[in-house]
Amino acid sequence: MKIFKSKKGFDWGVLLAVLVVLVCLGFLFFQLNKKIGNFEYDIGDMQIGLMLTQHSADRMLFYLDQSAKYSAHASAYSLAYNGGFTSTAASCGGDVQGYSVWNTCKDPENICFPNIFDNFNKITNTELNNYFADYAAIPNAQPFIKDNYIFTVHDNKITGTAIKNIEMNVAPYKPKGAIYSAGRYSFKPSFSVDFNYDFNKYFELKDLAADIAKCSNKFPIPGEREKCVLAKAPAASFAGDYVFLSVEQPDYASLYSKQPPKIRLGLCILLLPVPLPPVPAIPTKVP
Amino acid sequence: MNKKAFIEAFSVLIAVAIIATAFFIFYTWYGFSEKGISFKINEKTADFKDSNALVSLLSTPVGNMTIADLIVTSNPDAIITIENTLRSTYGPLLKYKITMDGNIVAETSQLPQLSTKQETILPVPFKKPAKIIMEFGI
Repeated sequence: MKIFKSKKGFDWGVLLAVLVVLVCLGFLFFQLNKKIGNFEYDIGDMQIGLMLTQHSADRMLFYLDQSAKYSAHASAYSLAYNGGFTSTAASCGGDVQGYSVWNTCKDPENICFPNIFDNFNKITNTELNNYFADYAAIPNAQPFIKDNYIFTVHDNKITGTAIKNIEMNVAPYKPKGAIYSAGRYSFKPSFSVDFNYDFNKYFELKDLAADIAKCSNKFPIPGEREKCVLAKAPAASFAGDYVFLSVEQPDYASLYSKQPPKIRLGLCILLLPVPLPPVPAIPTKVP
Repeated sequence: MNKKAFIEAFSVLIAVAIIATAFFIFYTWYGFSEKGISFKINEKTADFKDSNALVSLLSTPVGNMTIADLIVTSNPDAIITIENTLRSTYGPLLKYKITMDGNIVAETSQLPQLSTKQETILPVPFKKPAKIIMEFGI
């Protein structure tokens, strides 16, 4: 290192040290500046897009929870109004004066009891689909999937287990004019909401209906079958050959209705003609 | 001290001063750059914070109902329940305004100067869904 041995060289050495430091700092400056300037998007943009998508899904799930609750309540009323069927016309005896008839006049004692849980699920599904259709009508709304649930009612709750997931694009981020998406976001839109409804009333009515139906044939004297029915169901009403029951479920009131649901059903108590005794054969004279 | 020694010492001093200044400028520049990045992070965090506050509020249980149920059934308890819930969550200084399809559901006497606006869709029995908007802040 001859340069540091002479006094002349030492002066140059100091200048060289300054130059080296400045060059190094300049290089560092350009490198770092290039790095910072090269960020295509703000730090966290992509992650925030993902979290905003998750919040969007949360809002959908909230809408779903509320809709499911209202659907279940509406379904309880609808089921009771239709006597446990999906509609009054769906019963085996058909619609008579707006009531579902639980038997036929041909065979009054044979009660066709509705499949309560199956019908409840069908009505709830229809109601829920209506809420989904309303939601889908909102501009830019991510639609729900229709007919996507297996319903179970237990422990004062109704649970809807989703069959398919809902998928949506992750909220896009826009670095320098371009639009990127971090991918697809998928979630299972299942729900479980409070639903304190007692289905046992239907099964009590099944026994009562079978009992009332027995009044049809056993009292051939006019007026007796009405007495028979009223002894079993004092609030029953009559129209022709039909008896109608409207049984209130006082333990249950909907969120949006003060009136409890009423299970409405009809029964045919047609007084069938008593079969005549067989006519004895007239002996014929043999000539 | 002879002249040469003085020049030597002086040149070393100048060199140190130049290097120190260069370091200082570099450090300041780098500090600002980093601050710029931090600011962006803070800004995004502020945007993001409490972005689900409205859904949290509406799904707050009240007996066997939620605040959302109270609102859609026009239950008069809705206003006081909203106030109590927001006050207990965000403190007494919070100012807010909540509307459903443009109609005021609940609001404080003074509206927030710096507010966050959130909205969500609420199902309404026998009617079309309603848009709930909440503006809240201080």
